[in-house]
Formats: sequence, C-alpha cells, structure tokens
Amino acid sequence: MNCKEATRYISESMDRPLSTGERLRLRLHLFICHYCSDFSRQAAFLRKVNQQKPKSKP
Amino acid sequence: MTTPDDRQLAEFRDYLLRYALYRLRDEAAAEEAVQDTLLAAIQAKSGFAAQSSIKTWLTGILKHKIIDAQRKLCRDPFQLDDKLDDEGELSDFDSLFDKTGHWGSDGPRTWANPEAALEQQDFWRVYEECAQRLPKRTAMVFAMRESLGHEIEEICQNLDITATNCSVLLYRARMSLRLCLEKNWFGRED
Repeated sequence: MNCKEATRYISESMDRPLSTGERLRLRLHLFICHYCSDFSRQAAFLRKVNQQKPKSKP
Repeated sequence: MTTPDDRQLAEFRDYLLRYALYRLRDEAAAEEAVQDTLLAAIQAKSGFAAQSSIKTWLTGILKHKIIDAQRKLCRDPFQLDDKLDDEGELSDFDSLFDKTGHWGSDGPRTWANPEAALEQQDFWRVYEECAQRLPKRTAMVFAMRESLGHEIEEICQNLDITATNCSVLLYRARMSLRLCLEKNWFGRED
C-alpha cells in the first residue's frame, strides 16, 4: 500500500467498515508512515470541526 | 402545554436560516427551505409534541426541507462544477504524491494542538473560507456526512449518486480541507 492508496482507505474507513484485509494493510502502513498517520488524525479533526461548528458558529 | 402561535414560530427564523445556510451553502435555497419549514409548522401546529422544544421541532422539519433542497441543488446542471468520475484516478491530487504514490515534500505536517484552534474565532473564519472553496456538490456531500452524520447509503439515495461517487467526493473534501487548513492556519508559523 502506498500513501495515495492509504489516504483513500483512511477516508473510506470514516464512512464504511473496511474489510479485515484492508484494515490490516492500512494499519501496517500507518505504523511506518508518519505522513499518513498525520493525515488520519487531521481527517478525524475535520469531523470534529464539523460536529462542533453549529454550536460555536452556525 | 400550549401550541406555539405564529409569532413565536417566526422568532426562530434567524436561527433556522443560519442552520440551513450552513448545510446548503446557497442563500436562495436556504431561504426557501426556511420558508417552507415555517409554512409547514404553521399548518401543522397540532403536530407539535409538547415533550420537545419549539426549536427542536422546527429544526426537525427543517432537516427534511434541507434534504429536499439538497436533492434539488444536486440535480441542477448549473451546480455541477465538480466532476463525478467513478473510481478515482483522482488526478487532481497527483502533484502531492511522488511517482511511487508516496507523499512528496508537501506531505502532511503534524498540527500543533488542533483542539485549541476550536476556541479561536479566527480559526472558524479560515475554516469557512476553506470550505467555501470546495465545489458545491463536494461541499454538500461533506456537510451531509460530517455535520449531519448521514450514512453513505442515505446520501447516495438522497442525491441519486453511487457510493463510489460519494466516497470520491468525501475524499476530495478531506484532502482539500486539510491542505487548505495546513496552508492557512496550522502552517502559519513557518
């Protein structure tokens, strides 16, 4: 799995359950790639921003 | 409990408008959705269940009107400024990766204390500017997923697009927004 694929899987994992194989390969990639680990945290942060938003500033 | 009168309902107009605008990103469509909501509320006052607040009740109606509006917006050929290519070569992000598909020099950086940004008014302004740059349909799908918490099947059904279309649009939104925030907020110090 390269980063381009990993970012796709990270994004998809937020919207559907990944298969066991996909999850495993993604986890392996994240283990060695700090860029994609950051990407994953940032995608989660974007979700947080959107969930908080209507309260802070509609 | 008494049923709300028309004036009481109208007091929530501003709130509803902001709510709709945030989700639809289109002023005319938001106005219309709120108008329809208030009309529906006036006609169905007896449907107001006393256990919920007027605001909750109105917001519930508005949510349905927003879905109708989203569907309409998504089918409007003038809104279709973003491509709906199935399965993604997603070449628009190619420049971020090297030939082997790994992050190039522009790979994500670690964001220092992102939670703190949520407390800052300026951050929300920057975020809003970034969100405005998304193509309309991409922005709408992203809001349906992330703000409204809709499941993919629901979004596909409401907007009449495939699950692949949907996941491609969500990917684009996440890639674009994180890049924009990194450039305009989290990377400011350097």
